[in-house]
Amino acid sequence: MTKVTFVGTDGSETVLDVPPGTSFMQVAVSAGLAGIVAECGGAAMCATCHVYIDPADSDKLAPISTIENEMLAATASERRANSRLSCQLQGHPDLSSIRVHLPETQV
Amino acid sequence: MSAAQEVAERVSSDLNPLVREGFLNPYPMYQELRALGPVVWMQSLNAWGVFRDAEVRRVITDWQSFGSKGGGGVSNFYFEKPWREPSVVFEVDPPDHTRTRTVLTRVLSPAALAKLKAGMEAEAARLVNSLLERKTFDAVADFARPFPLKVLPDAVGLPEEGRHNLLTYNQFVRKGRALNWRQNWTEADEVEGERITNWVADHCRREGLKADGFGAQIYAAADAGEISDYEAAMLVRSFLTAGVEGTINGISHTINLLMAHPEQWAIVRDDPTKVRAAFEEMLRFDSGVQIIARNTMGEMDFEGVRLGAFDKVIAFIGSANRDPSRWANPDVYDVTRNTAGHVALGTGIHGCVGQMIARMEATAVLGALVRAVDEIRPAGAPVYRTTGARGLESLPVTIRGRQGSLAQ
Repeated sequence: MTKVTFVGTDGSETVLDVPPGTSFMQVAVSAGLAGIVAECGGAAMCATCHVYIDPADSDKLAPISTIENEMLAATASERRANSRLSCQLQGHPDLSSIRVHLPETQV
Repeated sequence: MSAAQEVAERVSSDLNPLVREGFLNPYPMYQELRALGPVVWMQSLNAWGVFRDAEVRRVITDWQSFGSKGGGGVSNFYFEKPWREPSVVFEVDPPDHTRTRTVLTRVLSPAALAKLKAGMEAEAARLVNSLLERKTFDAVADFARPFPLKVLPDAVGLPEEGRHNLLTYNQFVRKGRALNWRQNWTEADEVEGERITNWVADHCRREGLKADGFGAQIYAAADAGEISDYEAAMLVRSFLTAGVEGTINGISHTINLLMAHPEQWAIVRDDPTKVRAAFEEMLRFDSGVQIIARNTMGEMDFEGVRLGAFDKVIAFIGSANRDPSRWANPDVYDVTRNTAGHVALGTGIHGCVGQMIARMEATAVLGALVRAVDEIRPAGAPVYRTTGARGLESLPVTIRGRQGSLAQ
């Protein structure tokens, strides 16, 4: 399990357990987390599950794929160096915990 | 657990949700099949079937175990020659898939589509205004079909003439994905199949495509060396295959469901921005496409069952979307539901690449209609297709315009 802490724009924190091979987005949506829309349900087509990786955790993830990179160009909130799509991030046995920040808006 | 127990006896079934009463209403069968086990041998389809949300999700996303080269339908390309040249994005695995998908992702991303929104809304208003005058019309032939057949090929950059050929081509692609398709191929199919193949190939060529459309953008990626010219032509073909039929089915069926559920219609009538949710819930509740198939890449154990090499594994996405372990009251059409996570358009690397433009089309045309009318009711019996893609062939309706309204 990977412990993912979603930090809202108001500073509120939601901690969710993400099983290996499951995406952060999927767990967030199943938990009804406001701030992750995920209209396309994980096909990397809508850019509405955008998150900012906490700078302290920036080296914990696999690099951005070409497909995710294309879609990050379409986020509603500003793309930054630490922008990722949470549908492309998965729980992993080697990743015990990570903090991600929600953007101002997804649409 | 002893080794002998680890691999369970396979559970098999002679139910076939893809024909006859199963085709028209597969949901009672799905309930039975979900109860049988995580994976079921489907005798009539010569394939494995998965029916629960968890296993459907695994089969359609785990491309390392369940590959796409054997075809996305029941026909198994490892053992049966496909009707057409395989798709370079749908019937292929990474790394080749990643190259072609990257190009389509760019062309169809929400940022790229934003430019088309105003034009689509104007076209939707034109169509709805003409229907307000007629009052009674066929919501398939006069509404759901002409809109995508206009705006999608326009966006691709296809010429105006002959666009009905897209629907004919779809029929052939589907027939060519059926089990033992060759045995059911008539002489007429042979002739018409060749004609439509040539028509499609002609319309995938760079020369015939308008300068600013999706087609030209795909060829620009070929010029930049990202994909080959062959792949570019084949990606244009993907638009001709998958670009219109699903949207037509979805738009007409959303109206059908709203008429059948007056309390849901009232929600949408009072807040027309809810048409997008109504369309999305239609996808979860009863989508036109019910299956996505893959093949094993070698022998493997799956949920305690031994699968053979290159076996066909069919994910029944329409069943996953009604799985009570994932959805509360799954058999209820509820436009206020949080539908995120349905698998009607697939998910993962092969999830529908055109889904955002489809949503944009549906929202534009359904939104224009709902904003202009306060009543829509049946004007005759709907006609459902009994073969091919699930959906409506005809849906006669009568509308009453809102006081003094014209669509805008």
